[in-house]
Amino acid sequence: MNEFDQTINDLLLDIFDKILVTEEKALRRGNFSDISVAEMHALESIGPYDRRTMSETAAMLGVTTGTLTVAIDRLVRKGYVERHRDPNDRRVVRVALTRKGKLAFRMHNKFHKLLVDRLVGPLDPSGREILLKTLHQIDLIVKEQYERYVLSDGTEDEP
Amino acid sequence: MTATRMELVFSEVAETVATIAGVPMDQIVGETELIRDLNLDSLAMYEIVIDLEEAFDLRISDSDLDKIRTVNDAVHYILAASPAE
Repeated sequence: MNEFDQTINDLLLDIFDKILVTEEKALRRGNFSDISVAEMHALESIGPYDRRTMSETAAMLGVTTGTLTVAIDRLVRKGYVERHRDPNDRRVVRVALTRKGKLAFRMHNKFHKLLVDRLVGPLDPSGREILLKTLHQIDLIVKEQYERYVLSDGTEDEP
Repeated sequence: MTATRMELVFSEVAETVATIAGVPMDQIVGETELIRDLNLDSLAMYEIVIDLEEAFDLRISDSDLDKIRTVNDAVHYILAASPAE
């Protein structure tokens, strides 16, 4: 790898690590220190306004419904999520955020908004356009690798 | 828009704000500034937002929330977002 490529590689890994660690630390220091980043992402998948089925939520997170059930059990115990029977089909269970869950969701969203504002704020329109294009390109490449390695061996992330 | 509906919305907003801020309801007037006068932090602001969303069956985005400074701002936002049936 030449020096330029090495710098790109180091930056990508550093950004990835730091975002995860910062997210985790922001949660730990805040009012919702009893949930992990992965659990917060489960809250994000359910969303503040919807009652989603387990399979919809599992699909959004890229996990099986069995794995999600364990995560949802934990979030129900901690008071962030509640289960509801679908009034139109009693066999279907839907999950929704409680008031505490909605609060956690919005505070976490604010964290992301501040991060993006800091990143995008100083850029002029053409800088924003270049950033957006570059990030789309990175996302596409990472997605290809994800599908190649993760989806092919059937493993999944823990929510 | 009738005065009665505005009064009802004001009363609900004032009660919600007073409860979250932990102050008597008679301290809340239309010009009360949520952050400056009541010292509310972002968590408390979101508590108000979530309770008002529930009470009036509406959605308040973060960018709309940035524009809500006073109790009256919240009342007018709700009146515009959820017109009387």
